[in-house]
Amino acid sequence: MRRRRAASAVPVVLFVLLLAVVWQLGTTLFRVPHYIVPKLSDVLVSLWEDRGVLGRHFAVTLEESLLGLAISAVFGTLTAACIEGSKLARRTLYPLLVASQTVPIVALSPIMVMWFGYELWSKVAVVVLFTFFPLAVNTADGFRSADAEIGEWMRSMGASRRALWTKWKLPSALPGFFTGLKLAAAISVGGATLGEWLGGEAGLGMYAKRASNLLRGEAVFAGVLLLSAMGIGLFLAASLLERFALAGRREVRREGAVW
Amino acid sequence: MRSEAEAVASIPERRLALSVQGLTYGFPGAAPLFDGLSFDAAEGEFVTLLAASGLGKTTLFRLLAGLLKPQAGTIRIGTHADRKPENPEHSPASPGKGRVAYMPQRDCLMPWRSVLDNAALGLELAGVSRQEARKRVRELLPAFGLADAETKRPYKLSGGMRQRVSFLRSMLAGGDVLLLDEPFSALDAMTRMEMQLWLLSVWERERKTILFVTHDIDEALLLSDRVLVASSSPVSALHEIPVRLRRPRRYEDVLDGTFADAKRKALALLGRREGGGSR
Repeated sequence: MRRRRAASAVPVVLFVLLLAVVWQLGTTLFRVPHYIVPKLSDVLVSLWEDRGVLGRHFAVTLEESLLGLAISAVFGTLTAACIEGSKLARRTLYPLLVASQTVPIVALSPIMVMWFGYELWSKVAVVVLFTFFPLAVNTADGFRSADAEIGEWMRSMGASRRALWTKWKLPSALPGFFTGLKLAAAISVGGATLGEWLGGEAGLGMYAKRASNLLRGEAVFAGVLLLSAMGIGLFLAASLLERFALAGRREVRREGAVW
Repeated sequence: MRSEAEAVASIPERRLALSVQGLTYGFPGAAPLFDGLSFDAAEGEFVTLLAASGLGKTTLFRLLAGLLKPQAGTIRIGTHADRKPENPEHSPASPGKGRVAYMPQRDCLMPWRSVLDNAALGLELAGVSRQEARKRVRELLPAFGLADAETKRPYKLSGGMRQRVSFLRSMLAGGDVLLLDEPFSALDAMTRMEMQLWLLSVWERERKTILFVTHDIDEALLLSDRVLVASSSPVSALHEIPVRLRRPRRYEDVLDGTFADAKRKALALLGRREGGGSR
């Protein structure tokens, strides 16, 4: 299993290496100005030289993303449970939840700054804006996908409400929850970055923005590379968590081919 | 004379595990499914309801399991005399007395639970601690041919094994009556035969009251003490065919003359419905 998974990663690694070579050769051969596209080698040098500062900014952005994700996971699951548990909530919350997606989150984000100030919590709030919807909706769908016949059997055996939730609905919703978590993990970094742009003193988004003001292309790219690495890392962490939590279920083995 | 008197005297002794009186039910806006239906099952008896598809077997089970309320009539489950007649339907909120254990047609196992934990679910719902439930399941797994499957997830099991887990789960849930809803209908012929004989062997050992529903005449006759044939819709009366075959039964009993007679009778009853052409 493990070896096959490692082998399946070979093509993508080779492709990334190829892109790196094209980047390096292209910028060198065509003498692209460094403030348009810096040479890859310059970006790597910048990454290395600025590693102390970048590390601190990385930690800030990671903290914002993780806090936002955690808050969305808790409240998204609670919202999904309300939608599942009450007909009234399903008819009021669910449509509202979907409608909320027509509001441009980017336009809402400055409000978060007004409410939560220029420190950590305004960024966390923007991350929550980005990640709440996929978590809540996918978890709600997970609850709905619970095998009704199992629930009926349990009810006929006199199962309590509590038993129905803990032994049937919650385990049934886990796959949906993890689908939501993976999506949310991938976009959480974007939310944190936007939050930092709107007003912040630290974080990789802020770092990249400042570097762009100084026309330091290699530093901008260094920041962006780290941001996407963080997004990929969070996604992989969520996938790993999923594999662990759903171990032994057939569904995971089927789609688990990628990661 | 004397033996006759004894036989008569023993009739009130026949303790009913299940008693249905004047049951009426129909879905809103549709023709009624049951109209004044009455039948019963004695303690330790194996009774089969034989009916063509579409006569409302599954609805009947849902009524007996307390998932639906009858529009008229009473359903008494268990020998508990203190059940209130004004509350005939088994209320899922008050487990304990007079319960049925229902085994659905589809196995309905939880994909996230192992064989052991799936089988233990019924006990858990009955209030047994998880540890104790597992212990009791473990003791029974070998007899159910599941000794090596304890830690396996349902998707790794064959159809027959899944049904055995489902049966064990329902049996351990501890009802007075076991309701089996066409449990073998999805199995191939060979597995099906194996499972029928297996069910008989379990029943010989446990002597649970079983109400079995099927549309397979051979299956009904092979397994049961009595077969109740539903031959018209709405179901109002059931024709009873007692099966006078010895116990324990073997598969060769289907070649017995008694079996053939009973089968002829069942075919005639079911055929009359098709030939009736009243609808």
